[in-house]
Amino acid sequence: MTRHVTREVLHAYLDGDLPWDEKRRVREHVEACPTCKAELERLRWAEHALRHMATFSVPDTFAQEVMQRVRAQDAAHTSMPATWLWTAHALVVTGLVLLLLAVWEVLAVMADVFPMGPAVDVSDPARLYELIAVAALQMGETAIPLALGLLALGLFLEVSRWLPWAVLAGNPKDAWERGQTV
Amino acid sequence: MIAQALSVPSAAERGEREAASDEELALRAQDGDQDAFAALVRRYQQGVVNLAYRLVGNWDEALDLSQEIFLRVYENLHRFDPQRPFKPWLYRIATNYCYDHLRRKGRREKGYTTTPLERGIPVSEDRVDPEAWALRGEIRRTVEEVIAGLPSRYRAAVVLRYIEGMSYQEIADALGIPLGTVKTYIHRSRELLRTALEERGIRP
Repeated sequence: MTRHVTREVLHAYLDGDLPWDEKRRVREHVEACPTCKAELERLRWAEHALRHMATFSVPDTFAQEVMQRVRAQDAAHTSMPATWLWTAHALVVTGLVLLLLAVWEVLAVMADVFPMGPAVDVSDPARLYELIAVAALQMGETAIPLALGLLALGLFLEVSRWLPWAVLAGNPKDAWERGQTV
Repeated sequence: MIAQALSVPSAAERGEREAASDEELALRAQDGDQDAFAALVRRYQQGVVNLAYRLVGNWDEALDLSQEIFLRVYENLHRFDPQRPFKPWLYRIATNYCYDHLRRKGRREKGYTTTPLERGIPVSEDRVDPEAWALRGEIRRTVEEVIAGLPSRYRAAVVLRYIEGMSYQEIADALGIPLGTVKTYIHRSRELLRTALEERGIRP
């Protein structure tokens, strides 16, 4: 007769965790060996008892209560729709880029006017004012306010994410549910 | 969202939802479908409440805790990767929450002192073969006592294995421990029960 099967291997056998040749060896041994057979039976029985251990019934209202709290929580956290948020991001980015380009352009025009900085030779004031006025007209009056406007709108949308939307909407049911759960 | 709250799912919708996989439901819940999340709650309430109860040892506490667990799952849904199995992810949150709770209460390893059956909590009959249990109340008592005496990690593994029917690998993922450790926990628990049954002269 083959050698006895260890506890460890018996557990693995019970779990179906053995390779097929090892499994066959155990099966053949157990059939021939009353000691191991009894041992396996006892383990099998313990396994059976565990499989049938008591489970406790959950009250029917459980899922409803959970969902009520989920809804209350959602309402409390309700943020603006995701599309708004993306719009806000887009506005901020566009505004920043535009602002940067406009400022760059104005600086470039200024650089033309003051090749070595404003302290150097402002000989012809009329010409200077003209150039600045053109630059301001070109860039400042259109691009910069536009950029600032977009930026402001975008930032407002970004910030409004943290506004208490549920409170603003004044949904009485949510307020009631919060009262219940707090 | 308002439209969702107002719409009542038809029987067909509901049937389709009950047939959907956990991961599909989780994906839909991630997109804001509350009914999909409700289906997940119904699917796992039994398992989560039983786990919580076996870990904290108090029924009302277990129910409260389970509500908190599902809320936490809902809050963290965006972190769930639908490519991976939902069950271990859910039970990881559940066990961690129970352990946190026990740690806060400072009685992590004490477990419960009376067994559930002495507390008169309704036992679900759907998994139990009534005849076998009616005849062998002593087996049932022994099982309860052995489980009550286990360290909480063992108890969690046993509940996931025998009430939730999870594989060793799923349990390892849920508890965040190596596969070999899970096997050790289950084998030891089985061994303890075998010994206890033998000591009381309870034979098959």
